[in-house]
Order: sequence, then C-alpha cells, then structure tokens
Amino acid sequence: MNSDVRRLGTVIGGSLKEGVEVKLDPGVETEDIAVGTYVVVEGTSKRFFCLVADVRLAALDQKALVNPPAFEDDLLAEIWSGAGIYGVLEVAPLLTLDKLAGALDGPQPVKSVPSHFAVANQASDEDVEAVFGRDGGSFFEIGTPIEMETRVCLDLAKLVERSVGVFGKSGTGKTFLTRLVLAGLVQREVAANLVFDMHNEYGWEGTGEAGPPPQGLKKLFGPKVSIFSLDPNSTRRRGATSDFDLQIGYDQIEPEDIALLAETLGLKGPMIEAVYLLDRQFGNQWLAKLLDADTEERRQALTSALGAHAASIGALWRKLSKLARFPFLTRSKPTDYLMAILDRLRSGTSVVVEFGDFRALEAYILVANVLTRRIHHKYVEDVEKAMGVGGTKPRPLIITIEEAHKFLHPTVAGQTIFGEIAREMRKYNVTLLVVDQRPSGIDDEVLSQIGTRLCCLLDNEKDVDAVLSGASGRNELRAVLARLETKQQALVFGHAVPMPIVIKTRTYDDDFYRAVRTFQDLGALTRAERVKFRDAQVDYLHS
Amino acid sequence: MSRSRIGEVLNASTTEFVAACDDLHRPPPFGALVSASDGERDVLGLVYHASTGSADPGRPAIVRGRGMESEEDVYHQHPQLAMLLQTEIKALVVGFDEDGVVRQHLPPRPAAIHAFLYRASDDLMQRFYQRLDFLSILIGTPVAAPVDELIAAGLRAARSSVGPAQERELTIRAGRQLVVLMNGDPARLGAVLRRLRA
Repeated sequence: MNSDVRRLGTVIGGSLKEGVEVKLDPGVETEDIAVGTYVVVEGTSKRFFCLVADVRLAALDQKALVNPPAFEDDLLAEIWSGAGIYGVLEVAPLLTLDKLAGALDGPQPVKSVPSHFAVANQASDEDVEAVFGRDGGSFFEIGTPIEMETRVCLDLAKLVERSVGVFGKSGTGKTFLTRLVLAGLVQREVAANLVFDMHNEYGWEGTGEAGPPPQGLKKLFGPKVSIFSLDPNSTRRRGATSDFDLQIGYDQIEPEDIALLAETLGLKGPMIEAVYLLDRQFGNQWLAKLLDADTEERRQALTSALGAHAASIGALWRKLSKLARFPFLTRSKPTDYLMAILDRLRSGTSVVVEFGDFRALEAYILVANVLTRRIHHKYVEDVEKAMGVGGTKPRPLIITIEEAHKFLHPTVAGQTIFGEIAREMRKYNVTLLVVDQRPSGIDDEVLSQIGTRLCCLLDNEKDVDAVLSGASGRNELRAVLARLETKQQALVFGHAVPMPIVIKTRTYDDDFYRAVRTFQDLGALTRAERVKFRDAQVDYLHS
Repeated sequence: MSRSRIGEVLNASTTEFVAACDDLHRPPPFGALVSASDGERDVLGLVYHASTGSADPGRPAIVRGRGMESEEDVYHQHPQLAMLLQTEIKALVVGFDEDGVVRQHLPPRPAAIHAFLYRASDDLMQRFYQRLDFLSILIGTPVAAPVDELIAAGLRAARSSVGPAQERELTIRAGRQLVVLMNGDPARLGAVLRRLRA
C-alpha cells in the first residue's frame, strides 16, 4: 500500500477560503494534471484531501519571462523548469483525515489548511477508497475518478435522505446517470422509486447513441419493477409489457393541477379563478361539467350559474378541451390505480410511469402532479400513523421527475406538491430526484434543499450559479464544472459523497448488467479494513 | 589513502589562500578542488587563478633565450631557473573537510602557512559535489575572481568525477540552484548555463 504514491509538490501558500497553492516539483508537468483530480496534502498530524481547481504557470522572476531564455537543448529547458519557471496547482482542501484516529473516524470536514511546504501527493486508490467507501451495502459504484482506476461510490442511504438533482445540458448524459442511480436504488433496495418517465427511457429500454439500447429497470430487475403505462400501444410496440394501463378520471383532477399548467397551457389569472369557482360549485365533477359545456348556450348557462366571466369560461373550455384529447383521461371512474401503485411502493417495488407517445409537457405535468399529490397524501398518513402507534415508518420513496423546472419554477413551486416535497418531505420519507437542464429555472428555496447534486457539463452562467448555490468551495467547483467533458463526466457533490468529485460515469453496458444482476453484497469497508488502512498509513509516515 | 602534495600554502585568509606549486608551470587546472590543512581540518578551495613568475620580487625574470634554438635550451642552460621561478595558485575557500564530513561554509580558521597543498581525490570530489551550497559562497564572495567562469569550470570538473550516469543529474541540480541564486540577472545566468554544457 502507498507504494505508488506520486509526489507532486509542496504547499507554498493559500487560505481556507481561497484554496491552497501547491508549487509543482521540477519534473512534474502541468500538462499531466487535470483540473478535478485529487491531491492529498500530508500535513503534520492530518492528511488533507484536496481537489485540483486550477493549474497556473509561475516564474521566479518576471524579467526572465520578458526575455525568455533560449532553450538550445533540453538540458537547459530541464534546468529552467521547476526552478525559474514552475507550475502551481490551486487546490481546494475538502476533507481531513486525522493521521492516527482518522481512518477509524472517517474523514472530517476541513477547518484549516496545511502548513507551508507540506508535501502534496497524487491521491492513491487507497485514499479514494478510504473516502468514498467500497461498493457494497448502501455504497453503490457510480464511476471512477478521472485518471484513476479506483471506484467512487455513492452512499445511497444518504442519497435518499434528501432530494437529489441531476443537472446538465442536453446530450451530456443526464439520462444515463439517472438510470445508473435508479438501478442502484432498485438493486440495493434502499428506496422505492416512482419514476415519471417522460421519454420512456427507464422502464424497459432506453435509447443509446450507438450499439444496443441500454436496458431499463424492468429488463434488469424484473419483478422488482412495475411499469405503469399511459400509452399501452406504445409500450407494446417497444416490446415491453406494462403491469398496469394507467387512466386518470376527470374527478381526480383538482384546481391546483390546472393552476400548475397555467404557463404551459397559457391560462390567464381569471381563467384560474374560474377553475376554483367551478370546483366550489361542482366539487370533483368540475372538469366533467366544464368539458360538457361544448356549445355556446351551455357555456352561457354555466357562466350564469357560476357568476363568472363569459370570456374566461369560453377560453378555459377551449384550453382544457386539449386535455380531453388525451385518451388516458377518462370521464368514467377508472380502476383505482392509486392503490396498485401504493401497494407496490410500500412493498418496495419501484414504479415507472411511462408516457409513451404522450410527450406533451401538459400531459407530463398533469399526470405527475395528480399521482404525486395523492401518493404524498397517503405517505403522510402512513408516517403519521406510524408515529402515532410507534410502528415502522414506510420505506423511503424517491420520486423522479424530468424537466423539473416546470414543476419547481419560482412562480409555481409554492403551489405544487413537488415544491412541498422538496421543502419538507424528508420528514415523511419522500424525496425527489429532479432531472433538469435548466437548474436556474428552479426555485431557490427548493434548490437549496437538494442534498446531493450530480452535474454534467453546464455552460450557462446562471445554471452554473444555481447548481453551485450553497456549496462550499464554489469558486473551485465552478472551474471544475466548466471543464467537464461533454460526455460521461459528472461533478458529484453534496450529502451522499464526503467531498465533491469528478467522475467518469460507470459505463452502462453488459458488464454493468452482469454486475448488478449477480451482485453479492460483501458489505462496506469493515472496521478491520479501516484499521489496516490506518496502520499502513502510519507505517508509511514513519518509513 | 596516501595523498601526494602538489604545493605549499604561502598566504591564507578566511576566503582564499595562495600556494606555491611544486612543479613549475604545472598548477592544478582552473576550477580544480584543492585542500590545505589548518591544523585540525582540511580547508577546501577552488583554484581560480594561477601565475608563474620570479619567486623573488627583487629579481624579476629577464630574457634568457635570445639566440637559442629551442625553449627547452633556456632551462637546460640555466638550471637555476627552476629554483628562481615559481608557479602560484590562488584558491577561493568553499568549505572544509572535517572528520570525513564535507561542510560547504567558510571554515573557522584559514589554512596554515606552509601547510601542504593537495589535489582533491576522487572520493573527496564525490563527497564534495553531493551538495551545491558552495555556489552561494562563490556568488557572494568579496574576492575579485572570475566567479562565473569558476562555477562553470568547477562543475565541469565535478561532472567528470561523478561518472556519466550522474553527470546530467548534477548539471540539472546545479543549474536549478543557479537559476534561483542568479534570479534577476537573466543574461548572466544564461551565460553560465551555456558554459555548463560544454
């Protein structure tokens, strides 16, 4: 152990706020060190785990730069490099490990910086394992650090304690990353998933750019996953079978659901008011009553019955008639899908709601909201009941929504069930997994509640700001985030990882399928292994 | 290891010493590492100047070879010349060797007058050039000596003593130290570094 430690340089300055500067040793090329890699600084009594945030060139004397020495041969170049001219790493200290007790207590948040001339080494595989744990238990491998072979794990048990965000502009691998996390959650049985699968990516088969389509959760885990389809024809066409064809009755749609659609459907204030008037008058039959008013006379009658504006009712009827075209919305009272979904979720089976060909945003928002509101209601009941009689709380539930900014936009986040879940549902064991390409569109308050963030490349300044809001070491992370590769790379930080890390996402291929299907839980790093690790470090220290 | 003397110290100070060489016209080369005892330790110096002339200032050298066939004939016909003439070297003190440990700072005492002058053995060369702290003594010396030339010559001599494997390593190590020491004078630094390669 520690045989492959590669020395990079020594600490020459910095601060906790600004990051620490490491002067590279002669012979260590700046070209070899990528932003986002890990460095371990050996302090006197602590080891500091740091993330490389910037690489800079420096010179002892500016005069030499104005009149550059002529490198007539590589000998002169070698003499100059590391002495007169050198590289500087700006590293953000993120965690410390007490050299004697640390490996047992685990890494601690950083509260100081290493002293001058402390030696900085490239992090070894053992270091990364000591920090991120080993695949097993609730630790699930999600990728490898860049330029390293070792594996990085998410602590799924922690992941589901708070809401999770997967961000990145389109085409950067959000869907793959989400599928990976979901696969982990299903396999380790950490939480039940309710996935609103707008693009039919997670249930049966996804769409890959090359090669065979990536396998969905149902294909991978069979009975552990149920597909509920809003579009059974599309589901069958794709060779999958749905466990349940989902229908939503008019009576299940509440005014709040329509209010949420205001932006998408272009509903004005008076129209929303009319919806509430209808609801007060007709109760859960309000939508049926409105859609029945398909002639001018009927609408007139409705208007006078409600005392509403004629123009508002007319416009509302026209806008909401669009909804009536979705075949999964029915006037007749459908089978109670809710209990079916709840039964599965309570028993730990994950549910994927497929939208088939109904990819219109209004369908997605409406269905996700209607279902989630009712499931949330039941979960709150379950938890309160459990608290009352001292029973066990229901299994954690994590609800996956795409295009999350549509649900969590500042103007609607206060009203929707999703805003509520994001803000306070941790108490009720329900959290969100939001997948979005415009995190700046999400309400700040909601964003601040997102515990773990997995960010693929983002290049819009506002989005980057939004994603990093509230994160410590924001400036360093910003540099790292802006330099992610466009594919298969993500910056992971927050509650489920001890410190921010850039990963090369685990490949979602046959090896992965085999690994998750044949997974045998060997348990996380045992205490004995931690002791062994600590001893090896102590040996190394005294050698 | 038996050492053979090459001369004798005539004048010594903390920073340099002057010695007469036993062989006329055969001083140790410029940049050579030499040693002379102060009674307790060997003071080490780098030869920075050599000259040959009359040993007696009252009897300067005069022309002797007019009409002769060859230069050898001059000394053949005037055998006393070997006694009258003297080759002297001056060396800048760069450290001392005490109990087998080389230290690269100025010794507590200068070398003794009439102490024997020795050429450094390969072993001493290797021990000496393991460290390069003497470079800062040279660069800061108050003695009017061609320091830059001396550094280059000294390191070239050192290279041949450490063997081909470490030659490059030594040059780079010394070069890097010079970059730091001569910081602020790129032209001078460039000139020394180029001389290192020769």
